[in-house]
Amino acid sequence: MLRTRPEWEDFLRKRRGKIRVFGAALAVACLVIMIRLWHLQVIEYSSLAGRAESNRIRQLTLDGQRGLIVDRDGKVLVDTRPSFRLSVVPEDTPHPKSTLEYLSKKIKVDINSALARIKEVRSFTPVVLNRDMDRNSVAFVEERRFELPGVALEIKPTRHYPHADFAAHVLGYLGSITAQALTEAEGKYAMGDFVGQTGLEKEYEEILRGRKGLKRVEVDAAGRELATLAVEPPKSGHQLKLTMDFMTQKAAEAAFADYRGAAVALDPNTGEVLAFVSKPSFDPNLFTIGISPKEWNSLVTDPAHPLQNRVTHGQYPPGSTFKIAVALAALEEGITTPEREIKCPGYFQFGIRKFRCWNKHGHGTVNLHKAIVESCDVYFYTVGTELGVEKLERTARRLGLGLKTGIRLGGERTGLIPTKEWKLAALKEPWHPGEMVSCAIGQGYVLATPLQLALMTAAVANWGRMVTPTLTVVEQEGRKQNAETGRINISKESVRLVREAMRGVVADPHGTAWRLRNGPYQYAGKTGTAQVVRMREEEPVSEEDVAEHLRDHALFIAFAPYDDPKIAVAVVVENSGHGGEVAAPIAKIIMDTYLARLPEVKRMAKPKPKPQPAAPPAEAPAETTVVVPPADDTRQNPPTEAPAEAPLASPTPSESMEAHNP
Amino acid sequence: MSLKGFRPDQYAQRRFLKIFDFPLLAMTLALCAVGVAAIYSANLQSESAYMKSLYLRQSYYIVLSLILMTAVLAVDYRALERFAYPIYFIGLATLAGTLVFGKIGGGARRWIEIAGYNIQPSELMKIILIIILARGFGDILKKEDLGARDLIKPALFTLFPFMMVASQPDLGTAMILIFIFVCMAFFNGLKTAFLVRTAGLLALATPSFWYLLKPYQQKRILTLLNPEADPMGGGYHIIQSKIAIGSGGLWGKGVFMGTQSKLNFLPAKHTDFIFSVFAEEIGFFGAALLIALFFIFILRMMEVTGLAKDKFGSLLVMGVASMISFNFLFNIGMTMGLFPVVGIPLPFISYGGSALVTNFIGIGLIINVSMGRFKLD
Repeated sequence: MLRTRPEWEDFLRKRRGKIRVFGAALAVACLVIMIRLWHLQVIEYSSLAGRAESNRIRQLTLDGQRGLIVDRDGKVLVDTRPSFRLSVVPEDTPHPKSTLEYLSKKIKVDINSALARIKEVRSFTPVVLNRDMDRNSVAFVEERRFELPGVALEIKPTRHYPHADFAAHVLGYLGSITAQALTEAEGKYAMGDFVGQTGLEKEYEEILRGRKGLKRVEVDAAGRELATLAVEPPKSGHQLKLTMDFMTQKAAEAAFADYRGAAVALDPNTGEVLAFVSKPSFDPNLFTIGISPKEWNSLVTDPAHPLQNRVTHGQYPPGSTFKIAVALAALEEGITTPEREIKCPGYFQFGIRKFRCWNKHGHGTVNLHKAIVESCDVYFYTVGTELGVEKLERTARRLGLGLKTGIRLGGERTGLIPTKEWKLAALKEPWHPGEMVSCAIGQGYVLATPLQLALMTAAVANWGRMVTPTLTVVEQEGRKQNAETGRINISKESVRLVREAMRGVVADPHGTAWRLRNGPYQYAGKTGTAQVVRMREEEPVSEEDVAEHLRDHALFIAFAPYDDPKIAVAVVVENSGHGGEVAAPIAKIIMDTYLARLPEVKRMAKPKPKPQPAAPPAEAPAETTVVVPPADDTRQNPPTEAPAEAPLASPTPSESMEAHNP
Repeated sequence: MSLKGFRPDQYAQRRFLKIFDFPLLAMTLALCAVGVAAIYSANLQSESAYMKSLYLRQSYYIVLSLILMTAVLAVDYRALERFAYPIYFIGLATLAGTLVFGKIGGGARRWIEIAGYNIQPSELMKIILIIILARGFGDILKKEDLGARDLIKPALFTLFPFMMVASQPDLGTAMILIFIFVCMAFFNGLKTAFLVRTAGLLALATPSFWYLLKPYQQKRILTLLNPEADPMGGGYHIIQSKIAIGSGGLWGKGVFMGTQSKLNFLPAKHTDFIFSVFAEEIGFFGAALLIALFFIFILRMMEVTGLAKDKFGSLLVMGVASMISFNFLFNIGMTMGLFPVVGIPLPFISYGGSALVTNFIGIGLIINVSMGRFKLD
């Protein structure tokens, strides 16, 4: 049934135009395609080429090694160790659940939280499964690389504190960077980076942190690395050298044994911190791979507050150590003279109320020297009330009390030197003159941090200069110091009197720190026993009957050697008893350890015949006979000289007077 | 009329070599060569030896296709007019068989396996539809343009294979079937009134057509409008293809240097997205040249449309030309984000035996028709 030619030609004539329409339509379609091609390949070229490159090239950051922290001799206190980190890249893991289950057979993996993370993160963001894998787990994963697509094993440098809880409050710890800090850091950090959270790790983050390096690798669509294109090596952080002395610090921490409290030792000439102890401590290694909520909770809820830095944040009533400030104030303000004598009958009458001296038998006639040496409360009650709150505050502030010390360690508390204005503002009550009585012996409202006490001691040791405490050599070097830096407006004569009295505290027959008398160096110091709660006048309680957390704090401030001081210390031992008994031996250990390493400081010859005149036997019979071995902890060697306890450990807390308004 | 074989002496005085449409064959082979090179490049870095050897398999398919084309040339195309119905029913039966016994791949039942080879009957159905429609339109002995009533029979011829292909589902091929029908009907001539009414009806029906689509098909169309909304899911193909093409720039990344294809970012790279592989490596000038080649190639076919000796031949050529046009336009448009992602291969270039054989048979028919005008009856 074929068409004949004439019929066909008729058809063809009519369709010629149609073919042209088809041709034109095709031309238009091709043109559209060409324009689109031009658009993609020319106009959008740079953006699409960039996307092709970012498809192909993955930038990996290489962490710079964090700088070491070393002590003043270069002994390593903090370093970095490699840890193996296991993660999955959701994009490259076809069956995350079964992969995780497979891994969890051998490795500790929190499947549920990992699956939740996988759902919420962007598909190419690795989800960390285990931050610190042991060797066997690493081998397990390595051997099964091909069965575990998307599972990545990375070596991460991890902060390591080889001495565990050593100086933890100074060194600080690391933690994952917070989202807020991440945005503020402007690319210096990546998510999951560990940054200093407290202590020097935080304060010197900039110096310790290295610079990140980059590695550009070519990857395929499955995320496999095919080739390394470029490497920009990371830069390591700088080493941070501390002024701290490892041996001194170690000895100080050991001396505390199980006591709570704080001790700080510094060079009174420069302010270099030599030891910095806050007890109890914690192990910063807990934080380096991410602390578990359980561990964190136990640290935070611990009633002993191990995370608190007691040196800068612990505010204690300074007790009798405050008498140094009161004495200086009284001398400077002309309230007292070295010659002035006051009779101590064992109590002080202020209006209708009686305030007791710690020695209920009384100290007899007392001048300034004896008042400091024997810590006579009545002398200071008298001088203090004459002095008044304003004048006391003026001198206390010169000695740095109630003020920030300027230490670079993430903030500090100021302690408290009360004023009339302060009381009105804080307690809405007017100042009562009787409150000066308890303030004069470092009780009442007076509070100080151990660091402040150490600096006050240093100021006495260095003849009247307030130094700024420094923890690092770099900070120390950045500061120009001479013999007049920080000179305070207190006459050298007043300082001399107080220094002599502080020497007497150790060396004089009735000195409250007689335990240190026979040590290898010439110490000067002042004991203190601070009441935690005020006890009723008529109900003296024996130490053992008081709940532990209500017992007195023992304090001791000291410097040595007396002639050319190289170290000043403040020790606070919480709820432990008397300053001379508990705190002074710790201070002695700290001073002895440090001074032993200074070649220019001569040890004294073992004192065989006692140079001091014999003490009146009635008051301190033991003192003439007892020899306290150097660097010995009296607490562990219960004194063979039981009567020696008498002048110190009277059953009544030494500052037992109630200072409240009735 | 007798069914005679291919005999050069049938052609009046002219020598076979002179009347044979060499330019058309040359262009076909040039496209095939580009295809083999692009398939080679696409799987150059593949880890699987099978994928790496696909370009060789494509070469074998080309040889097989050339043999089949020669066979088509050997038979006078007018014989097809006689056997149009049997061929059509065999085609429908095969499609029905595919729906029942076919192999499932990529969520669709598109292939039947014969001797270890997967054949895609829907591809061959395109050429069968062209033959039956050429026959159907040729049967209508009217001088004036066609109205609705005249289109019923051709429309039914199209509807059956369309339904079967669409239910595989293979929407791309099904769409091509419709376009072949539309083009052939339009070429045959349609009444203006009918065209206007149809256009109005279509405009009204389009929204309801949306609801007939399967959810994944709807998603593909939405994805086309905004691929970045789902970059790792439905938008992935389009985005990666656009990145591949765009990153080629004016001069391309160099032959065998495409990163999008080598590193597997580009999906279906040797089949549906072969153009992206090509454009990435060759760049704008090369890709434009390929489009120009397709344009000239198709114009050449349309030229034959006007030279054919009879209406059946003319419609046959028009059908093949429209089939190749739409495959070409939809495929390239798809790789550049102009059309939704439907599995339409690029003629002669994409990897795939069934499509290659189909297209070569089409070329064979065109050459057959073009030579037919010199043939003595």
